[in-house]
Amino acid sequence: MSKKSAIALSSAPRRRKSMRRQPPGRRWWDGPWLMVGSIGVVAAAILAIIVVSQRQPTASLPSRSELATVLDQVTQVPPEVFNAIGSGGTNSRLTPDTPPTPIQGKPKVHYVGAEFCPYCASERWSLIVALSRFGTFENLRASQSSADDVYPNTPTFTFDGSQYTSPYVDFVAVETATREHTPLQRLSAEQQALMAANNPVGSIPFVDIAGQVHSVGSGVDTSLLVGRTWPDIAARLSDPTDRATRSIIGNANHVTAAICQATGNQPAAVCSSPAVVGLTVQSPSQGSGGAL
Amino acid sequence: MAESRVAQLKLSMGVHWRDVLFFLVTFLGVVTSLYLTIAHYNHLPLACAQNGLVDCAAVTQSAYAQISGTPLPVSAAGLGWFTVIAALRLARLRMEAAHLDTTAIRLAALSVGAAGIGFVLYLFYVELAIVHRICGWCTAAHVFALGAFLLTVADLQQETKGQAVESGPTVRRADGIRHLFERRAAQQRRGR
Repeated sequence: MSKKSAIALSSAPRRRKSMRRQPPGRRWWDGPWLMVGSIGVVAAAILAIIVVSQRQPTASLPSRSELATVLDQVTQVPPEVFNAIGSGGTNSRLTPDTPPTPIQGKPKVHYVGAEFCPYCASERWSLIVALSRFGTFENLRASQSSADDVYPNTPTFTFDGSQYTSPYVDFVAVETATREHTPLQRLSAEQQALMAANNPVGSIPFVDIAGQVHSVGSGVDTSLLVGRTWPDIAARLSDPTDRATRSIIGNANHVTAAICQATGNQPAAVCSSPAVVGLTVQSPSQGSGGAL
Repeated sequence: MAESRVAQLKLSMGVHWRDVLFFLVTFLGVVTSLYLTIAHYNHLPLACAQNGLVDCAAVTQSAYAQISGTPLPVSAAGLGWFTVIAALRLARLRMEAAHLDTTAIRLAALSVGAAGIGFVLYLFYVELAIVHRICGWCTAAHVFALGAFLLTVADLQQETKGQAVESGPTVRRADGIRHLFERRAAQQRRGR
């Protein structure tokens, strides 16, 4: 046999394989398994995601009925408690914006924080208490600060997914990260400008009221909330002698006074109350709060 | 007369009801992604119910609404994905009409489809497990993407059946060469 024909013979089967189309049923994608497998994998992934999303961050969060009671107590603090506490013995952490922004239309209260942040956790109690005097919150959820930070697992709420309606003031809240430090919400251009002008370091919590005054850090003593439960803190909000209540309501009164300045003292029932009258924006204090 | 010519042309291009459905689904995907992209760049509020779990703004204004490290919204990626997978299907139809082997392009479409579905599942995870909200428009786009992917899988599997009855020039040429080799081998065996 010649060398040429030997090559032709040996290469014939290989060529045949490469040039001839394979008969049906031989390729890996033939048969029903690819379609069934694709549907199965997608369905399993969706199911797994739903299961993971249903897991609560901790077992100690209040139940739905407990949360409803807690929210009622936080958003409906009796007026006499505000008046009895006043400033709560603390100076306001609110300082003038540089430069103040002229108020056009309904004043805006901006909040920038994060779910992991313990100081944001304590500040939220005051903000909810104060803003509930001007409007209504919906869909507030219980949350806790990070387990790995100072004041771990501070009981609080998250503004993520909540809505606030008020005839007097708008509330724009941004939670930049979850309790697990994963990014959550972005700052708007307006908030970025406010932060750049008044809080260039970017510390949180940051609260700005109508572009007039702002605070960096918490006006509430966070240590007073650690180790306590939502129902416990909320139930004592009607007790003006409780230290945590004095800290929360005192700070809420400072915030309320600043909002009243922005709304032209509306509503009168809130802004002319003894707790608010006389509380004005003061110089920066070295209060008990902190910032991250 | 004109109608029958159109029907003939469709037949010769191998357009199947699956192709029609595929293009319908990808068209809807493109429209949805385009709407989300336009709303993103123009800061427009989405026409979307806001009740508990469903909250489009919470999702589209979250940190996950942009492709990491870029200013591009993820809806722009969706727009690109629908365009690419539709272009691959169109190319496949043209190749098929020219009696060319379409296996590679079908596999490419499958790969693009699988990558897209992986990203869709990631976005679904972000919505449910991190943002804790569902965006109705995004979910619609995800459903269209899933439909396009499953139709791509079906298209790949259809290829085998299609080839069983196919007798285009490529196949005929391959068969001719095969017969040539078989005849030569038989002659050489006889000679030995």
